[in-house]
Amino acid sequence: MHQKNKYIIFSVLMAISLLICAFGEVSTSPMPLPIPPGWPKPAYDFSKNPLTKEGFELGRHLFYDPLLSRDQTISCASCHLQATGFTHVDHELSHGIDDKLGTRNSMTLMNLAWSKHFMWDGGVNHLDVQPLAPLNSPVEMDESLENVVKKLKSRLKYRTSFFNAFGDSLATGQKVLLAFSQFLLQLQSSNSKYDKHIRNEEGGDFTAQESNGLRLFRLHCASCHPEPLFTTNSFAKNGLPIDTTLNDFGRMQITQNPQDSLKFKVPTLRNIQFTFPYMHDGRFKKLREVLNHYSTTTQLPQPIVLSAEEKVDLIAFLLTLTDPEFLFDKRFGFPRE
Amino acid sequence: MFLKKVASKQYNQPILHAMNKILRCLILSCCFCPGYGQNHQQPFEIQISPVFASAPLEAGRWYVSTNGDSIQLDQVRFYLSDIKVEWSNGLSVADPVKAHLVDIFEPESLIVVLPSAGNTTPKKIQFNLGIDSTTNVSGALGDDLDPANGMYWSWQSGYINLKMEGISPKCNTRKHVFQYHIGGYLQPNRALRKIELHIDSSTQKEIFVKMDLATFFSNINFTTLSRVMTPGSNAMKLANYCTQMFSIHAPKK
Repeated sequence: MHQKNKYIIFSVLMAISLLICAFGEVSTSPMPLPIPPGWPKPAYDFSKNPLTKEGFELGRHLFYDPLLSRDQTISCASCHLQATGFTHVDHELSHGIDDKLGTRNSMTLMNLAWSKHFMWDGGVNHLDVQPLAPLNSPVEMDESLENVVKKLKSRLKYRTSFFNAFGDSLATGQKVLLAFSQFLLQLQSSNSKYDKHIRNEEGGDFTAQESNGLRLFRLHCASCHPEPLFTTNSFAKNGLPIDTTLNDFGRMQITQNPQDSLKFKVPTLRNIQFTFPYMHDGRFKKLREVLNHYSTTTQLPQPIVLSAEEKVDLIAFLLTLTDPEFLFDKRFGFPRE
Repeated sequence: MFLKKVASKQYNQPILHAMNKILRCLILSCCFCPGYGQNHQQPFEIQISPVFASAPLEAGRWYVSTNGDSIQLDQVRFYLSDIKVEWSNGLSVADPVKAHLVDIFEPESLIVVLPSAGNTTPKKIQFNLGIDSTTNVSGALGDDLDPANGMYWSWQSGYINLKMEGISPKCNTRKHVFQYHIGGYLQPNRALRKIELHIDSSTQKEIFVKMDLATFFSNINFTTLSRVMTPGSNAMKLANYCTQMFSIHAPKK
């Protein structure tokens, strides 16, 4: 009798699961990226990875999960903290697994839908494949995508989220990377005081100092850091002498073209108030030092001449690029269940 | 005998019953599976036959190159992409699958199946050894192109077109290992190679593409070049050697 019951239960369960397979359809909620008015067309092709709430949430969990590193100690958020514009604050060179030091300062993560190259040397050619770099780096997470997929497959939590996002509970390398992009693409900063000023919104009134700073910015800085993204997304030599303890020649290491020696990716200046230290090797702690470099270097095609007062005004303007709504947006924070 | 033994244990009977049912269901569903049996023409098979000179290729076996180097192969994996076959009746049939990851020590990966062109014989086969530039900048792809297959560079985006690893006592490296990871999609170091082979065959069913690793190693000087893991002039040189490995092999009848 007892055995018969077992058999019936088994059959019913089988039937239910077959029914689910036959009629079950995964429904996802679209979560398109709102493009701010006046902004250029994003570089990312959303048609190949349509953004959904479920994909975003999966990407967010992956972003904050130390499971991704070899010994489960380091997550993406270890070097990319939301409150500081998703970068590693107060470290010249970012550190990863076993307290090992890298050779560069981690980049900020925002408005990545407009980016065509990633990393300081542009070695990564697409947002989807960007997570592979820190994942495989022996001084960052020291792990392989193959093994991450294996680990994710063994977790019930992830089987559910992969099913919700992609209609298949089994993780693959491709799905992991697409989910990462879903999260990273949503990290949009477009509500700073500067943005409100441009849109003539409340809270966007500039002081005389900030207005003068904007004028100076457009005159001296905008050729490499044009609005509204504050970067050309290309590579430039900014006159910094080489640090002989690192011998980092930047873009040339990727292209092997001597013309690219000491060229680095032009970073965005949004939220610059919190993204210190500055430059690819984090050599400047203060914005003042950055401006001092640009106004004294002889390596630029056109010298930048700034008086002490002008530097103060320029910094006042740079602080209007802080976007508290972005830095404290709960959707982007650590996922508490 | 074994099944009988299991069946005699009472507690296993319901499971066996259930398995029996599932099996029947599966067989039934196969019979009604749409499309099954509709294809009158047999598909066309391309079989890769890896050899070292005249010897079949095996992992862990020692081979001797024409330069007198002893060689043992641990890993040979590569991408075949954009396969196209031209037929005597003028038809040209392209592989609907963009790329295949071939592992010479995984027999099932050595067979690529293409749709048949009908009652005719193949004239020419074209394929790329490696992955084209467009695919290299297309983000996260799946199946054989999934970066989780370990054929993708992370610090500098791009597919590894061909990975060849093994040992030779001539290598001045730790454990005498040689590692050739050949790739690169940007000019002037684009390591993709187009290969075109003419077929003189009366068969409509299959062709054998011989891949002779001895021709590759006849070019190699282990003392000067035992490790290539970045795009560049060395990878370009090795990519050229790779193209010499492939030829059409007439099967013994």
